[in-house]
Amino acid sequence: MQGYIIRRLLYFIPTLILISIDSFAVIQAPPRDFVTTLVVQMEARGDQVDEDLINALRARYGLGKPLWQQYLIWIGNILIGDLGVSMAYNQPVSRIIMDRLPWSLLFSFSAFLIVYAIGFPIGFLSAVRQYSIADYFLTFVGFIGLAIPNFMLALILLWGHFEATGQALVGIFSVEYAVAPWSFGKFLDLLYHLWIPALIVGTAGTTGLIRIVRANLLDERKKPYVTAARAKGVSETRLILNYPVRLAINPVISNIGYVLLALISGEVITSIVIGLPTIGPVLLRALQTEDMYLAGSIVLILSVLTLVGTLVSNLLLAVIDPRIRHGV
Amino acid sequence: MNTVNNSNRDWLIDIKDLHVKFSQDDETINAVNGVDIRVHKGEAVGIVGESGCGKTVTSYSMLNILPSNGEIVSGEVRYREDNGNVIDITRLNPRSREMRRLRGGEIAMIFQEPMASFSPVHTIRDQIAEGILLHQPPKDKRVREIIIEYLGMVGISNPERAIDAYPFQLSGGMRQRAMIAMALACNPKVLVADEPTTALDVTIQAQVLMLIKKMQQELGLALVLITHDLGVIAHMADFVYVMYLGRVVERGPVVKIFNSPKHPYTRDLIRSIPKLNTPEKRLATIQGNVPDASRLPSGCAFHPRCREIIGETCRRDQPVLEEVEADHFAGCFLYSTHEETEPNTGGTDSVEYPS
Repeated sequence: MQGYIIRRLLYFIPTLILISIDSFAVIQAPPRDFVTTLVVQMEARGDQVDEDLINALRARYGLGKPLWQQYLIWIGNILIGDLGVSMAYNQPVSRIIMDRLPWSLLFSFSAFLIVYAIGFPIGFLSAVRQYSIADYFLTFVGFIGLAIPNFMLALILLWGHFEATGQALVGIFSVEYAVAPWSFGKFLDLLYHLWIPALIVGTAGTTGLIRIVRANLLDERKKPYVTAARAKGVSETRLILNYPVRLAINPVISNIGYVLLALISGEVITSIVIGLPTIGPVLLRALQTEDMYLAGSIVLILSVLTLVGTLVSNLLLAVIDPRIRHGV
Repeated sequence: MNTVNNSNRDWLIDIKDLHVKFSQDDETINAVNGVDIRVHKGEAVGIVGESGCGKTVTSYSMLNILPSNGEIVSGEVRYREDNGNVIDITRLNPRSREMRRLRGGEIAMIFQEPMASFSPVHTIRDQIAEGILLHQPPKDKRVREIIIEYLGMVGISNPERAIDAYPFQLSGGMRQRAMIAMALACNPKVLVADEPTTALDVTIQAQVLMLIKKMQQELGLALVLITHDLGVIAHMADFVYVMYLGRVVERGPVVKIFNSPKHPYTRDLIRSIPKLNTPEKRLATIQGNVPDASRLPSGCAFHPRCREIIGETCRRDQPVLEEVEADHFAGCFLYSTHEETEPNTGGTDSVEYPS
């Protein structure tokens, strides 16, 4: 077990370095460096270009030096919490991210809970009652959920909610709570605003999970060890819970990393439609305006989070599956 | 040792005219077509035949654990309990408490692949304890000791350590020993072994077979041994059933089957056992392949491959088992006492147990 954990952590490090190089490449992607862009923008606005400031910025980010030195300077700055400057917002990147990231995480985590809370039981039911009316119905609904684009679903739900209550369910708080200090009422209001977007973003993941759980359970049910356990006199209920479910859970857990990634990249459009203060729309805008420190930093942080999710799922797998624990 | 002639002895399992079919992609496969098998107390019965002859399906029927696309169409599988109570297993709901009481508790099964037949994520202890707790929960908390005792009994070295192992931590031979311990731990009366050594190394096969034989004799179990290997049958069985395409084509005491096989199929099977002391370079084989069970040949199912085919009768009529010598039956027109049989009767009316 210790060996497995240490190995996983060691794999983690080179992946992390590769991801940081990747993010750095995103920052370097535009033909001009960001200070040049800044100068062009200032001149376009007719602003006075402060030569000292420009030189200071160039020195701080090592512009003009060889790429590998720039990379090392960039990494060094990140380690002390300096992610660079956003030109579009004219703010440190770290502040923008700190404003948005918690909402993104809360939002993704809620969607994640919905995916597993809905997907697993439905997949289980579909498998246990294979080819029943319930199975066909749930499969049908699942595929519809998969086929409808998120923005469409968001618009439909918003419209439905508005028709039903006369209130527009946009943003993350209702008007009366938006600037109010934290209270239990505000918390409930947050949950109320959160579940619809979480459900929307979770639909694709939920459908995927239903298929995975169903396919795995059906697969495992045919395995000889199930027949062998049945031949011992084990009841069907105990049989399915103790054996196929136990083994079908592996792919479900290794799916966590992918689900997280899909949720984070899937939230952009929904967040724009519903007006959520998450990080997805910021990333989109940063890429459009070539606000590269912001874009690169977001790519880096999201990648690291995905990596952590994968690591967690790997460690969970080791806990529940002795074959992985013992390195078989 | 061979005292099978006396069929008045207590039988434990009596299969009568069993028919089992499978549905697959709108196709019906008649896997078992009227099989009669009787297993007596303490007797070792061997069921032999090529793959696809219905021997595994027959054994699964004894525990009512056919896969979901399989169905017992007709016939009986009767089990006689110690108190004389007779239960027709085919009438029980496969999920019923009564059926589950018999599985493992009265009739236990050893499977072909010891690796695949153990759950990879449960320890040996968990998997053996499950059966014990279902069938004979000990009054004092000694389940662990019972398991260690059985593991030792089947020759697992260091059972105190093996009990906490996962199946993948044991070798193939040890896993099959653990499987045998698991089957024995609930004190069954009948042990059904479906190709118990096919997945094992040749050197281990003999050890495991000896172990099964020893356990059978020491515990006074009835053994139903399913195999395609006539060598295994010769060592293990008292009484032999030879199956071909879902039917018993010959049955008799093991000595008679090997010394004077009657059915052309049995003769071919015995002829194709490799021999070391003959100059022939080529192995004897049976011509052709086993036909598709969804399209059974007319008449005697073996006629397309038979080297002793008589003529039109074989293609048209279904032979019935007839007594060719004391306690030895063969289903072949070579031994038909009737000049003319009704076309396509297909019945097994004349099958009777010797008295």
